[in-house]
Amino acid sequence: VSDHPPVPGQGDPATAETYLRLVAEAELRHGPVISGPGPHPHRVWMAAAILAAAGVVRPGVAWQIVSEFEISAGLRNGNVRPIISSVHRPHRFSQPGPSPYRASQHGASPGGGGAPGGRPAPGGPGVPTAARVGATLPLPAEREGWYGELCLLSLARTEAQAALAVAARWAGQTRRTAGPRPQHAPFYQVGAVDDRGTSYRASLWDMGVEDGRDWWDCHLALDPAPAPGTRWLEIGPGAQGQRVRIDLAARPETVRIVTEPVPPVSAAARLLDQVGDDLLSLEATQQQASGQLEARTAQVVVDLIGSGALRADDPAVLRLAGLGWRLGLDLGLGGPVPARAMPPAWISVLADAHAYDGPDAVASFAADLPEIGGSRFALAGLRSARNGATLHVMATGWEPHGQGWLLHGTGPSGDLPDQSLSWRARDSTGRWHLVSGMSWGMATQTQGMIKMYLTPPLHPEATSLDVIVSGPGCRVQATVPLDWGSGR
Amino acid sequence: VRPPWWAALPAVETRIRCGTGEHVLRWSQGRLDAADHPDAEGELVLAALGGDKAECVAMLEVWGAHADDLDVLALGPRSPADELAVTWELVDQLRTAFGRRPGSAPTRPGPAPGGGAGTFPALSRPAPSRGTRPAARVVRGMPMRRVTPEQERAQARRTELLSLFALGRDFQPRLSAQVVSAWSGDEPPAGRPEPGPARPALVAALTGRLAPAAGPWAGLDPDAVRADLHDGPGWGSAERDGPGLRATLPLSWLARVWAPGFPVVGGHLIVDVLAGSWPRVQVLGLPAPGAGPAVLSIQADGEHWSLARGES
Repeated sequence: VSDHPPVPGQGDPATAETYLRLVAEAELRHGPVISGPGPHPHRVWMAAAILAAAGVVRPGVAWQIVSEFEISAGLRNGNVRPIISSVHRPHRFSQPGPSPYRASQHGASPGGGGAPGGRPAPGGPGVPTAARVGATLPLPAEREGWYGELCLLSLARTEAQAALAVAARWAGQTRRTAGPRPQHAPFYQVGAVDDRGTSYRASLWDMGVEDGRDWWDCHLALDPAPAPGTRWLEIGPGAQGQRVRIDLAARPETVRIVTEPVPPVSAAARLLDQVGDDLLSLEATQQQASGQLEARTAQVVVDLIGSGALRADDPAVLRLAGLGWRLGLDLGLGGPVPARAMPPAWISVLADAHAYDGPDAVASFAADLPEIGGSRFALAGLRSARNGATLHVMATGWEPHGQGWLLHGTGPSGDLPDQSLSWRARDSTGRWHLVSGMSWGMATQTQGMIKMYLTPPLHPEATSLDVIVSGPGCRVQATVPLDWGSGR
Repeated sequence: VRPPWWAALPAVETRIRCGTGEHVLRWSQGRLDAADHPDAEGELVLAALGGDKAECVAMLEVWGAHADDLDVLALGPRSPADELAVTWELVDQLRTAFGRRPGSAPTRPGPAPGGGAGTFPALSRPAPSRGTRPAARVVRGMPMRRVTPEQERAQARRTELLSLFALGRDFQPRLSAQVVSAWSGDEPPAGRPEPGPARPALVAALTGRLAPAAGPWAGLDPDAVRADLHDGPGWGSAERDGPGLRATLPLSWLARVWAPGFPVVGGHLIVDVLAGSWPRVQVLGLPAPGAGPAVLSIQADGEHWSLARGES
């Protein structure tokens, strides 16, 4: 007997498994030739990944069906590789898979407060916390005469790991005859010392890539992680021996955090909503939707409906139909859908998809989110640019999986799409932002730093940002200030 | 009284190497026997106590171990045109690649030298042509990853299954029928597995074998055929459903009708076997989707079945 309430739209696993097996039977009739690992998954793999991500077929069952299909195809065309490799279950198919019932039961907790709810429970070696920095450390000139600076946004840490979220850039040159600007990010070996005299080594955790406008979004790891009770840290030396002090004992700035239950939504519906976010993100980043993307999106809908994971009239299907129609995609779902059937986030992004008005600036803030879906997060600042923004997050218990699967497929080398949590943001002007991609810097199996790329850009008049994390039955919203610092 | 599930399946034989000689494996009336080992069970007991296991006896053991294995249905042939590229050479290569597990199937139960494709059907019928289908082989130098004991058992089990497929084209549908009989209630209830969690695999097995025959019979693409298991009394149904065909048939249809090779005879979709045994049986056949079934007599004619004289 399940302890969990039924989730609307959650399909019957036997029906979904039967559907997947019949897809495999139909494909086998057509005499498929299974190619080696690559970016173009075959039909059965794709359907298996979708249904596993939607939580209607267990990952192990999905893998078994894929494996049987590939072996069957191999036995018919003389390819024994699947027979050899079939005993090795890919890691992604060993994952427990999304649980549509893993809803955290949080009450509304405006303004923070004790656990459960606003502020995280103190302690716990894996609980990330962030401390605002908001200072720039100028770096000494390098050999060719160029000098850079590190905009230190926030320090995120657990008891075992610590990382500085940094926006780095080349700031200028000491002589006019300096050569071309270096292609790599500005970096100078810095370290830290604390109030007890303990020294720390700062090393590159994630240097990132140049954004096309001379900025790098970086993470610098501090080793060791500052011990509990550390009052302050000084980062440096920079140019002329300058140091930046981080006050770890300061009272955290007030960040409004609201945790609230949301009506249970099936993993299949969340998957379709994520598809919509991905389509809009591609639109906003001006990547033309290819015919393959259109067909793949339509196939996702067909598989979710055909497997019984969703009804054809499920609101998630209607939402995606409306979005597809507005984006000019033929998803086989009919004509226009009223705007009221679509999420405000999509309506907003449709309107601002091609905005190019984001402030060139950094915002340092720190917000420790309460537990959601068994995971913990600390927000550690962002950098805004004309075409988007980069949000820094330390995560424990969650890592991004399957990013970009809709565009690139989810072949043998890819991850299953993860629907356990979704991220969106809304700035104080009402402009919504979707996550067009994530960069994951893993520290341990369960912990790391994430760079989330928000699109479209922040509104130039925005003064705060709601960062919204949604799980199966719960939503956490943190409102962080956008006190623009250097870089503007 | 309904005839047993194997009534329309004739006996078949094949020769395999056993020790220094060649022995006959024979399937008839729903069981595999090693004619040269009259006390195979006794030999198995001795082998369990540490004695040598004859290759024929090992094959009997493997057959029994896979007699309710749904992998047989997942990997096995769907229609006469659906040929598996499984040879003894492949099985040997896989055994070498995986490393032979003590007590597993024999090292080389292959055909006698010069024995052609490895099987010869009963009644001295010529072996069916192998056509141009490529034979599978292990790629030399294929990297082998380290395996866990569980994976090693899975490899051994899969190789065992392929060795059963390597017995030849005549044995493959009989093995499938054997598995179906274990799941469909033709076996004694004590040994019958619970079908619940296996139902999706069984529905797929039925659909995958019905569609290639029923599609053309109904004038449809096989992909337009939907099948489900019929659990109640009677034979089920088969009727048009929009642009497709929807059929519900008992699982035993696979053993009684598909395995003997007469899903469609004389323009009729055969849905049940009423009486008789190979080479002449009385069946229920549908002349068209949605039509009532007719009682027909059909008879084997070489590899094919046709309406018996006097039927039309």
